[in-house]
Amino acid sequence: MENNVDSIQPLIAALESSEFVKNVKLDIKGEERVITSVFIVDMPSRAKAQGQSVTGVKTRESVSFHLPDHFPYEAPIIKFRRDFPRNFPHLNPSGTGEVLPCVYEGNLNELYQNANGPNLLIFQIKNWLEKAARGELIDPTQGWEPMRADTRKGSIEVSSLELEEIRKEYAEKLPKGDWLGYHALYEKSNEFISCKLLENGQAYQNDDQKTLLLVFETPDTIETYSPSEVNKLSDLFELADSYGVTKIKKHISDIYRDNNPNVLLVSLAIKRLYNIINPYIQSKYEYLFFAIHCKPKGREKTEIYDGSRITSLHQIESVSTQLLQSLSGKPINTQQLYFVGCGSLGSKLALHLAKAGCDNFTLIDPDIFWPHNNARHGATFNHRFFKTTILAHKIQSDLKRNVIDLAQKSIMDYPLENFTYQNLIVDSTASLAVRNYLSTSDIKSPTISVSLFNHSRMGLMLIEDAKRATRIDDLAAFCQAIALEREDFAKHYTANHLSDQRIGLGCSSYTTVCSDADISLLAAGMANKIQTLAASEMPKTAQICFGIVSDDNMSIAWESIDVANTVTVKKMTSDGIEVRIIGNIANKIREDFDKYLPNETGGILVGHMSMSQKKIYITSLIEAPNDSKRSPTFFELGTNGLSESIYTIDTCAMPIRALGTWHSHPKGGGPSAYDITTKKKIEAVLGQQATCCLIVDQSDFYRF
Amino acid sequence: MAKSKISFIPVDNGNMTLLQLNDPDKTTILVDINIRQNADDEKQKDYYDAATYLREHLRNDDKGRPIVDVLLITHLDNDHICGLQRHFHLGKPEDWKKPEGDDPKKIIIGEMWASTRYQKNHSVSNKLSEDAKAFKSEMKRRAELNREDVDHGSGNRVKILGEDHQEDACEGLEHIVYRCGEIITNFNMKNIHSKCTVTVLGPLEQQAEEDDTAFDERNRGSVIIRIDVIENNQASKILLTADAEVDVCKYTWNSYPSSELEYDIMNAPHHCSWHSISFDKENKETVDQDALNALSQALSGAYIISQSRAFESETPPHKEARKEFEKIVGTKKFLCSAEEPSSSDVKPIEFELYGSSGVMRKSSIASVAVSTSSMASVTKEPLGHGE
Repeated sequence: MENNVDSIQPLIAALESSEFVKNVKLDIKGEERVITSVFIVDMPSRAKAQGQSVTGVKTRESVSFHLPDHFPYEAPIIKFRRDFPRNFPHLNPSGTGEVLPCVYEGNLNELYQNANGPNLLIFQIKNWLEKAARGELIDPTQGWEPMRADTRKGSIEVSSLELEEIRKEYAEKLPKGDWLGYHALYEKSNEFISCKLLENGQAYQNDDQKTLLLVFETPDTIETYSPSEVNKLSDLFELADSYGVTKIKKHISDIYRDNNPNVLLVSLAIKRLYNIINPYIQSKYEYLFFAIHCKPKGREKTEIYDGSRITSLHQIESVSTQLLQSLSGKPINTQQLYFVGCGSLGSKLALHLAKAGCDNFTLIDPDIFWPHNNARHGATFNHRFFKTTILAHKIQSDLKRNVIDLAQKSIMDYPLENFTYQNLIVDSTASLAVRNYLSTSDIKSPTISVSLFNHSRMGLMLIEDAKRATRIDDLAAFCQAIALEREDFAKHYTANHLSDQRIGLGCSSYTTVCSDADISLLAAGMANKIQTLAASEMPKTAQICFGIVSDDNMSIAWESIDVANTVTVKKMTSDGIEVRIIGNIANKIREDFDKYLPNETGGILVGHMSMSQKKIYITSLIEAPNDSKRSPTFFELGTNGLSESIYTIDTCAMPIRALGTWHSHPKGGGPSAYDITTKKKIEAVLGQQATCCLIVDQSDFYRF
Repeated sequence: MAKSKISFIPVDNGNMTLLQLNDPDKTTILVDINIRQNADDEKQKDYYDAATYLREHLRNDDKGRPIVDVLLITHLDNDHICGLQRHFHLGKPEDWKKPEGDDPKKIIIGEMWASTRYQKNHSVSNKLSEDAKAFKSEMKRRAELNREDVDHGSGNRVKILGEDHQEDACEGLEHIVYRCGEIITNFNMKNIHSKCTVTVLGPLEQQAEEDDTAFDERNRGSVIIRIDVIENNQASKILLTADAEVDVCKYTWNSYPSSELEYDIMNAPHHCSWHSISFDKENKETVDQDALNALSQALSGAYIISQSRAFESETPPHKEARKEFEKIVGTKKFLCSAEEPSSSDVKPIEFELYGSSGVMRKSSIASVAVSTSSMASVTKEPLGHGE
C-alpha cells in the first residue's frame, strides 16, 4: 500500500485547482483514505435556479474518492451520496447501497495512468453528473444501456442471437402474454448459480439440474430506465406487472404446480426505445434474467411461495458466429471448407478460421495424433485419436462451429461428388500424391495448397482460380520458373531438409525441425488470406503467394504473383501425354510468333515432365540463338550459346530441363519432313516420351 | 438525441433568431433577418458573418436547395428584413436557379409569416426598403395563391399573424390567419405539436383608448410570439417581443394572463429600448409597471437577450432598461449579443432547450470532458493490447 501523501497529492491538487470542485478534504482513518469534495454541476436554467434537476441531481453534489490499496496504480473508487437517485444508467452494480458511477467506458485504472489522469477523471465525473442532470446519460447513438442489477450472484450463458430467435418464435407462435419455455441447465456452487440453455439433443448428466427458461415479452415499449431490484418472487411479479406482463404470476404458478422445479429461470424481454448496447446483435429488446429458487407456500407443493428467493442473472454471451466475427472483425466464409490434412499447419489454419467465426468445416486426414504432435499441432492431446476427431472437438465443442463431416481416411477415398464449385479445399498435406490427385478435373472445388519450406523459413500458397483453369499442379510447376528468376525464393524452395528429425522407428518416420511459433508465424498470414478468399470468391486468375521469414525470425515479407490461365496443347501424338503451358509462356510464344511474321520462328521449351501423371509442364523458354534463320516456310534454330543455356537449365536445382523446341507455322499445317527429322534428333538425346516439340499456328498449339 | 437549439445571431441593432428543432425533419424557424452587406463579406471584419452561420445551420430540401421552413418577419423595419433579396429566393420555388460561380445558393422559404401590415404601401409615413418591398410583393403572391384553401407546396406557403390593421385586411384569407391567442402547431405543413407550438400574442387589435396615429406606428404592428419547444412533454418557453414599445407591452399585459407571458428566454424589446418600458422618454426613472410586468414573467433561471449594439452612447440599447431587466433575471442572465462571448469577438448566443428543466447555454455544456462512450479521445497515451 502506497500510504505516502505524495501519491495522493496530484489528485488533491487537480481537485483543488478545478473551478467546479469545492471543499476538497483528505480523510485518513487507518487503512482507509478518502478524499471528499463537492462538484458544482451545471444544468439547464430552471433546474439550476431550483438547485436540482428534474432527474434528482443537485447543483452541488458530494463526490468522494476512495483510494484503493494499490493507488495510484488503481484508480480511485468514485462514490456519490447514498441517496443519489439510482434510476440512471451507467451506475455500477452495488449490493451495499453505495452509488458507484461508471464514468468511463473502458478501464478506469488505465485512464488514470495517463499523464493527465487526475484531471481526466475529474472531467469524466463532471460530465457524468451534468449528463445525468440533463437526462442525457442514454445516448441513442450509443444505444440503450442494459439495466443494472445491484446484486448479481448468478449468470446465464446464452447467445444474443439465440435469445432474439426465441423471442421472435414466441411472438409468432403464441398469443401476447403467454410464455415460451426452453430447456436449460443450472449448477449451484456456494451462493453462485450458473445457467445455460440446453442445446438441441444435448445430453445432461443430472436430471436435478434441468429446468426451464420462460421468456415473457413486454407488450409495449418501456421508456424509463430503472435498476433491477428483484430479490423475491413478489418483486418479480411487481416488476413484470409494471411492464404490462400481467399473466406471469399465473403462468409461473401453473408451472410450479405441474412440475415442482427446484429452480425456474425467467427472462423478461423488454422492448426499449433504442437498440440495446450489444455488439453482437441489433435489437431493441433487453433481456433480464432471473433464477427463482422455488419454495412451496405450504407443505403441499401445489402453490409457489411468493417470497421465494430470486437471483438476478448476468448474461454471458456464449460463443457464436456473431461473437467470434465481432472479435475478429473479418467477414466469414460463404462456402464449405474442406481441410485436407489436419496436421500442424492444417490444424492451425482451421482453428484460425474457426476462431474468426468461419463455419461449415469438413476435416479429412487418416492420421493418428501422436505424442510428438503436441509440439506443433493446433490442439494438444495425450491419448491416441484421429487428428480429425481432436480438431473437430475443438471446433465444435469449444468454438460452436459446424463440422459437417469427419473423414479418417485419405482424400482419395472421399466421395468426389462433394467437391463442387461452391466449396473450397485447403490442402495442407504437402503431399505430391494428394496434390496430383486434387489436380484431376473430376474435382470441381477450387483448391488452395499450403506448404512450408526450409524449416518453415518460407510459406507457399498455391491458389487456384475459381474455374480451375490453372490448377495447383500448374502452379507448382510455375514455382520452378519463379525459382529460376528469384534467388531468394529458390534458396528456400529447393532447400534439402538436412536436419529432419526422426520421430519413429520406420524409415518413413521423419518430420522437419521447426518450432510451433515458426509454423504459426506463417500460418497466421495464410489463414488471413484463406479467410478473405472464402468470404468472397476465388480469384479469376490463379495466384502464388510466398512469405519469407527474415533472419530476425520475426518479420515476414509476403508476395503475390498472378498466374495466367494454363493453355493446354492439342495432340497430334498418340502417347497420351498432356502438355500444359503455364503462366505467361503461351503469351511469350505468341509475341514471338507475331514479331517475326510472315516468317516462321521458334525456340527451346523448358519445363518438366511427370512420368507418373503423363503430363508435361512448359514453364520457361530459351530464346532462339541469334544465328537462327527465318523465312515464310522455314525456321532453323541457331547454335550460338545454346549449349550453355541448356546446360544452365539442366544443371539447376529444380527438376526442369530443356524439353524440346517450338516453332511457328503462320500459314498453318502439320509438321514437315524436316520438322520430323529434327524431332527425331532431339528424341535421340532426350528419349521419345520426354521430348516435347510444338507447332504453333494462328490459333493453337500442337504437339507432334 | 441532440436537443432543439435557439440562436440569437449578433446583427447589431437588429434581430435575427434561428430555432432548430430536433424533430425528425429538423424543422427550422427563422425570426427576422438583418444580414447587412458587409456581414457576408469575408474581407469586412466589422460584422459577424450572419449569412454563413445561417447557411451552415440549414438543411437542404430534396432538390438540394437550402431551406428554412418558416421565416417570420415581425415588421418591415430594415433592421428586421435586411438581406432578404440577396439571400432568399423570392417567387415561385420552381424558378429557383443554381447560382453560377461561387455565389451561395439562395435559401428557399418554405412558409412565410407576417402580420397584415405587410399590405401597407410605401409612403412618406411608411417608408419601405427595397427588401421590404420585395417581402411585401412575395407575401402578396403567396396570399393570392392561397386564397383558396389548397396547399401549393413548400415555397408557396404563408401565414398571417395577429389582428388586422384595417377592416377586411384578411378577407378571403381567413384559413391562413392566426389571431392573437391562437396556437400554431403546423410549420411548413408539418404538424409537430408534440415538439413545438407558437402562440400568437401580437399585434393586438386597436385598443379602446388608442388613437389612430399610435395604432398606425410600424412598431405597434410587430408580431409578438411565444414559442414553446417541447422535450419530454414539457416546454421551454421563448418570448420574442420584436420592437414592442411601451404601449404594446402594456396592452399585452392587460390582454393575457401572466402565464401566457412566461419565458425561459426573452429578447428585450426593441433592442433593449427604454421606450419599451416607459412612456417618459426623458425621465429614466418612471417605468410603466404594466409594461414591465409583461416582460417580467421570467421562469426561474431565465435569460433576457438584448439583440443590439453594445451599451454605449448611442441608443437604443439603453443602460437604464438593462438595469430593469437585470433586476428580473440577474446580471449574469442578461446577455447582450454585442458582448458575447466578448465585445471584440462576437458569436451567436446559443441555447439548448431542455423542456421543464429550462434552457442551457451551449458554450457551458462541457466540451472538455468526454462521454462515457467515447474512449479514443480521452487517452493520449498509446494503448496496446495485451490480452
